[in-house]
Amino acid sequence: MDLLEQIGTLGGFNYTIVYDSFDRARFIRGIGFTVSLSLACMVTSIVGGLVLALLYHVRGRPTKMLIEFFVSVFRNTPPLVQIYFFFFGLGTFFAQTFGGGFVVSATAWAMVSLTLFIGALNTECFRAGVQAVPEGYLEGAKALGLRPWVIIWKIVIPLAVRAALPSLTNNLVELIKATSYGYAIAVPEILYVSHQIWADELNVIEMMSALFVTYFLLIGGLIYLMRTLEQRMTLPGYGSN
Amino acid sequence: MLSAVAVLGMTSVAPAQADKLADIKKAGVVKFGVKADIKPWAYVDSAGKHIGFEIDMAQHVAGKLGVKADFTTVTSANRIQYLQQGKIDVILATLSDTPKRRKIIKMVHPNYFGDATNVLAPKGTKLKTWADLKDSVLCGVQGSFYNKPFAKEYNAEVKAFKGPPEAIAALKQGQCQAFLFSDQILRIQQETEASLKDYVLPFEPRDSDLWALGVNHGDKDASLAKLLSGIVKDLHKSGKLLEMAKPHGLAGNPYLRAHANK
Amino acid sequence: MNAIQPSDPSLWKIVRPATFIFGATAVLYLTGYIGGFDWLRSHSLMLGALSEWTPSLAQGFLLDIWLTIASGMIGTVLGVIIGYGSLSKSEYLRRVIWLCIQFLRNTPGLVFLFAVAFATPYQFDIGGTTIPFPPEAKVIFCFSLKISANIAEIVRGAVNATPVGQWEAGITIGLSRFKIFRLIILPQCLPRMVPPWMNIMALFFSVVPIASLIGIEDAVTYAGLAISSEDTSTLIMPFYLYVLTWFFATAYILQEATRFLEKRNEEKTS
Repeated sequence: MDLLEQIGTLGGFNYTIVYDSFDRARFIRGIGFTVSLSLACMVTSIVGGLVLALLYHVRGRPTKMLIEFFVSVFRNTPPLVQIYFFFFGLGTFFAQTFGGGFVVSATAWAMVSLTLFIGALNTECFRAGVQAVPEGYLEGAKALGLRPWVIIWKIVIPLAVRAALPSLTNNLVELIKATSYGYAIAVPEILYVSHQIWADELNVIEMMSALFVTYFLLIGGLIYLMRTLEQRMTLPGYGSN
Repeated sequence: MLSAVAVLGMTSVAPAQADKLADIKKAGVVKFGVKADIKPWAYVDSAGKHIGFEIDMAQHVAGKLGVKADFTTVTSANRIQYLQQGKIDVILATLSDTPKRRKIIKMVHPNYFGDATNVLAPKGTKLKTWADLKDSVLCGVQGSFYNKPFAKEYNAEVKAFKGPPEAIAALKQGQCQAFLFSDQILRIQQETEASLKDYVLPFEPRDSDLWALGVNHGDKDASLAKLLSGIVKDLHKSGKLLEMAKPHGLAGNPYLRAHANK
Repeated sequence: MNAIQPSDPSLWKIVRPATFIFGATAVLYLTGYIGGFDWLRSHSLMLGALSEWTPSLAQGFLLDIWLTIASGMIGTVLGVIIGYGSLSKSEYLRRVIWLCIQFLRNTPGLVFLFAVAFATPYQFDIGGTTIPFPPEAKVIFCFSLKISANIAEIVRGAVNATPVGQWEAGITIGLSRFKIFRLIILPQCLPRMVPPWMNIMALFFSVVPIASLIGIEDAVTYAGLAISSEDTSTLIMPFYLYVLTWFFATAYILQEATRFLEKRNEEKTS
């Protein structure tokens, strides 16, 4: 028995991801996939949420109602059914209407579904954030003759994001957790990969523990980063010091 | 190593009973784990009732045991776990009798159906021989015993879904080049399902395997296993199994035909 | 305090989508039931198929609702207890509880559910009696724990927002810490805790369908069975949309009720 095998089978457990190169490779690939899927969806859902929140505040009633409807739909429907709808429903529809070459991968659908779902949650928290920007700042900016775009970019967005950071952190944690929905459509994220491994090696408990640790570290890391960001961005005199 | 973990798993979750057969007779019901999405072996009608060849077989077995049959829907991924945990008494769910599985559960002999491994692909597929599967993308079902070996042998990516309907839906979209699954099931479904008429099985089947009823190892299930063995033997001998297969269009199975009335 | 009148327009707004959606569902099913499903299929395959499968889908949907309610009730009680524990004077207990809460909150529902489903037996044999532990119970066990972690956080936050004077008043009249919590602090916190609580319930109602991945026969499982049984690609989207509208209608009620209560809380404090 070489060293890795000794470590991996300590205590009667069977951590094939330690000593088996095939399993180890796919487990690491799975972690990488979860991380990149999370990062990509973070970017899209934050940008999307911010854009919609801004539109909500500057546009009229019809836009407001449309955005409210969008947020309402994605918050009040199960993400699992959303992802099934996209992959099995829309996916089949696209494949049939546009013929042979046009295939949207499962990963792409997972991104679409997660972006819309978390984007809706983000819209809510950025909306509250934009609302929290003090009127005085906006009036001052207008008095200085700043153009609307500059006001939005340099004043509203930074302040809104700052106010929304706590709930945004919650949403991003939800996002990392929600990447596990990809399991249902064979997206090779960490849960799917772990299931493959335990189905082959019959080491459920070992893979479960590995999964717990992985998510704990990923989410813990995210929360730490967001807290650091929060501290860096604190305005003196605002929030709890 | 595998058996050590398996035994660990079994002893920590197996319910403590004196004799499974006695418990079944006392309860008046035998719990079968069956599939719900494999037409015509085991599927459901719009009222949610289980129907199919394996269901008919299960009803017959229950009758011979003198009890009622209770059906729990299982998937390839959870059927062994359900049996080990005691949620079901018998697996009757297109279960292939492999050496790896024999270490964990008891396969009832004689087997009751003959099968092999194959793929389903669209008509214009470029796949002509098994070797063409190298570096390919395949759809599969979670829990199939050939997923990992084929992934390793051909360096292929196997996208495993919950069940055949999901895998076939993905195949139809073009998410994969072919669907790796049971030869018999693919064959029958391609022949009977209208939506699969532009699909073919491009290869000759390989790695024949046989299906069996599954029960737990150990003394508790020994008498049950013995009784089931006798019932299956009788089903072959009397030709009744072949008879049951006819209305479901499965009477052409070579294994069934070879063992009927013997 | 303003009592809610029966004719209150905001109440009607809360249930409007639900009445419309479930009303349409009932009409669809009855049309098929009375007129014959095959007749309905001949006019519209989609409407006929949806109509015929409605009872099975509804049965699954009711299971989803039941699982949410059961997990919610147990999780809430558990959460209040854990929340009380997180206020403990003992640093050790606080740390342990914090760790448990972090673990439960930061694990994906699906991962935790798989862990519970695989690692726990089908029944418990204690003494001479056998207590069954079917998959539904495992789902409730799993979600109760997760919900309790969220509720504990809400309780902790609400209690921390209560003026310290309340605690001190309780001490001066000689009440134990637990009695102060139960009789003085908690009743004051309740109105403030209801909107976040409803948010949690709505959140978990949207998460419950993952139970279909461990074999629970809920709405999503039946939708999948219906689709594979019908074997017609054009029915995939209609079936999932059908089920989605039911979830939407129900969750919307929770969402709007939360908003309504939040507004009332604001009015009371302003």
